[in-house]
Amino acid sequence: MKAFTYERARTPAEAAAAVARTPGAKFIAGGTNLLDLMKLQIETPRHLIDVNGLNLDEIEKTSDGGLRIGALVRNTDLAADARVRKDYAVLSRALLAGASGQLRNKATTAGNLLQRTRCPYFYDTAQPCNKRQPGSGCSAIGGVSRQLAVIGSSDACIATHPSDMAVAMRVLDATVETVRADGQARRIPIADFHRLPGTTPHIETVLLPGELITAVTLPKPVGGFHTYRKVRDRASYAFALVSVAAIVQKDGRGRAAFGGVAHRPWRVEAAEAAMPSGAKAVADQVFTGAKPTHENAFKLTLAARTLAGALAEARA
Amino acid sequence: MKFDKPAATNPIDQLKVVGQPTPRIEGPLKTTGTAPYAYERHDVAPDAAYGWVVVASIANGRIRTMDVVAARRAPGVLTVVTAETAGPIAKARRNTVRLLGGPEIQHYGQVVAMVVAETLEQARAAAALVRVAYDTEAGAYDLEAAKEAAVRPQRITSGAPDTAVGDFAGAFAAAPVQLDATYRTPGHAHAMMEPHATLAVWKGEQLTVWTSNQMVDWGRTDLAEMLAIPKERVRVVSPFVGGGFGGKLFVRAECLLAALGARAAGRPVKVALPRPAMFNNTPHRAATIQRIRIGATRDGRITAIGHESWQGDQAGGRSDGHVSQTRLLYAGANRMTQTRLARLDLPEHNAMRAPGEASGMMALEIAMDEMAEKLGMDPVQFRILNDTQVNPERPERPFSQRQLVECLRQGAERFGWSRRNPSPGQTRSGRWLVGLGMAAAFRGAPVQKSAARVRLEAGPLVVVETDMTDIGTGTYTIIAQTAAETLGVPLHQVRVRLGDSDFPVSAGSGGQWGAASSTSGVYAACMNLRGQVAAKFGFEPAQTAFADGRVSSGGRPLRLPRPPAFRRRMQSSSASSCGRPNSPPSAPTSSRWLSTPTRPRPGSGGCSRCARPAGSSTRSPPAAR
Repeated sequence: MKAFTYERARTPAEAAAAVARTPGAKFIAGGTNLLDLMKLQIETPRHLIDVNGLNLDEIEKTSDGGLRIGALVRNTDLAADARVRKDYAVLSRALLAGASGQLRNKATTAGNLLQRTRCPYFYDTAQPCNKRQPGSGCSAIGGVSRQLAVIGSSDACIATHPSDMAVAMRVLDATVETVRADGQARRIPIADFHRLPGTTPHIETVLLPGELITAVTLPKPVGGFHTYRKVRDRASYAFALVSVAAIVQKDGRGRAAFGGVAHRPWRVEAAEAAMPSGAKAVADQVFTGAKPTHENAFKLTLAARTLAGALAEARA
Repeated sequence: MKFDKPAATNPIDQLKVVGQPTPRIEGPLKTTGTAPYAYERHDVAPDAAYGWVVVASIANGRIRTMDVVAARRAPGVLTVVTAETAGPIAKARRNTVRLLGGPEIQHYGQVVAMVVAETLEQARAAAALVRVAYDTEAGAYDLEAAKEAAVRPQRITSGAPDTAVGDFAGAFAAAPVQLDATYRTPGHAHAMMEPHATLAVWKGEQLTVWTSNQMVDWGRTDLAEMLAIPKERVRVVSPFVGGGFGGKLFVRAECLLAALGARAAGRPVKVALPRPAMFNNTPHRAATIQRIRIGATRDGRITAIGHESWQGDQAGGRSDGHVSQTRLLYAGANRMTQTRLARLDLPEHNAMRAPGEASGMMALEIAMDEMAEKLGMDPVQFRILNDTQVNPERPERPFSQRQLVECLRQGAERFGWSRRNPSPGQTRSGRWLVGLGMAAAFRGAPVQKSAARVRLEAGPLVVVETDMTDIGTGTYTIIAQTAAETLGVPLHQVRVRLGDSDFPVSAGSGGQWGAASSTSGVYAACMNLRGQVAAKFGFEPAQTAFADGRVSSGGRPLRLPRPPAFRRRMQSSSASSCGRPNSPPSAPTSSRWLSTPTRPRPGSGGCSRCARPAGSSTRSPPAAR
């Protein structure tokens, strides 16, 4: 870990401005990912701005019948919220499929969206990695890639986004609310929030320097059967090989987003029309153009089967 | 004491304490966080500095240059240890690769340096400033690719790497039903809860390491060898081990580096392998390729069985006995086994949880299931049909006891095997498909020589000392039970002290031998002590009863003697050993003494005589399992 300075911010706008004007500054909330990365010197912020005191930890109804989740709401509290459990069960299930009880007690809603990939080459500072060190190359391509992306990847990066929560947020059409360094607020649809790696895999979201997430809002409930299925090499405390967040209505229509397969939660809305025809039909469209590696082509089959399991569960 | 005859009645048979359910005596220490583990010995070295290792970022080649200037200048740094500063370090016999790499690099992640600083954070930050430039060389990392060049190793645990009986090739070719299948198992890495950790302290020429190690005397021997100092100048203390599983049978990098760092810094140094460094700097279970061929008659009798295995290791490494169980488990007149070892530039292979058996049994039992399927036979029935009551490679040798068939029948009955639907994918429980399968398994029961010292003291009454380790196995409790039973005292009056090379040399914890061997050594010492106590009272030892903390021989029971009733402490040291390598020692016999009672040597407390009893000077290192 490199030495750094530290301050506590009092308002969101002040925090955003402070990060924007301080070179090498980062926000810290739960720190469940950032501190690990700092110990390994993968992240080397020179200054930390603690946002835990910003009073962004409420879950409240919105005027259009949705839910506004403060950026600092802990994963444990979000998963346990009665309104979430009743109307957005897929979110509660996704949260509980991730990390451990201890980590969920610390991890925040905004931090979860911003966590970094668990690609082993990103973590091994002795290896080239375009995400960690732009331009150094990608060790994962041609390397151990069982866990990595099958679609939306590039010649520069085949990392996946590790979040379970974000996959549920994607299927729920969440919106990310932010405040920028100039004090301006904006709303970013979750579909546009995470970027594909392209030639700049180190830039993972559309957030501008200093821009701070203040909340994530959910539209009014869509009903239906909610499920989150996560398939992994170990039954607990492991990242998804493939996960599926699905909402299925009684008439067989529905939506599905996939985790563990791409640099962002992967959802193709156009493919969802095929849902009454079954999982295979949906998955074929969702994964059109997939470029798996020699080690992870199984994910395509696994994704279709995991969705099939979710649909069967919805019918049962 | 040598256990080489069938057991006669002995004090253990009372089963007043042994075999009775009891809370572990070391349990409260562990559950309250007060059991002293190596990295937490603030009590013995409150001023310990912290070491942080630097590991190689290439898999094969040489260090061209290493720049430690920035690291040395970093805040809090006391010293930086490298192969260059350390001078020549011998490779210990029990290790395959050197524990401190440089200039030659033998595998990815090999430790090449250690920074010692006032705090852990300073050491870690400074370690990141070490700059190493390498000349990379091509290496071999793929077992499949290296398989053809693999050679026959000298030996495996169970003896010869290859065996052959009858005409395997002919019988297999002629068999009406054949199975020829190849299985691959991946490498496995150790990651026990307590990482490899050591606190090293030099007092003049005397080194003490508080470490986490399963085999205290091996560690002491190897550390002395690496540092080129007499073994007597090394003390190894390992009273609690937070998981070992074979990965702590041998001294690893952190222990050597702690000793080197403490010497260079001139103060105590402690080092734990960071979790990511464990995967490359501790031994692992090697990947295997295994080919199994079984030939059988149509009614399911095996006529030919062959098992070949391939694994890789570094030069000078060894192969697990993947084929060992196939030599003994099922009948078949024509048979062969073969072991081949490929040269790979991966971290060294060594013992990990049932080494050999774990990979080999899996392949054999899958093959047996697949053969049963081909034959259209029930897999339990197929195994029962091919049971053998003699060693199938040496039919003149019957098993003294073998109850595989009884075991299979009882298991089948208890698991409801007869109600099993043999077609896969047909049985449902709610949303789950449920299957019922079976496999046989066995593992050897080796025993080792094991010494202990037992004495009577005011206070606890009975004190047991041995360098035996507790790797989470409850050694403290089973040793206390053994002493309590043998000397006729309640469990709470026994104190057990373990894991210190100042104590008599035990079997250590490994290869299944720990409990049977170490409790036999304690039993032998207790029997020796009983003899001394009887003699003090003028009793005939065989006619003397020990019960409820008292001694009697026909007449009124007398209290067990203890200081100051006697001028000096009553003490007995003894070693157990076993005549035949595979006979169980757990039922001791009336026996002959191989060691005489000894007093502790002033100062050291060590007792070389009891560690090496008369008539057993050839204490050869056992197979490291």
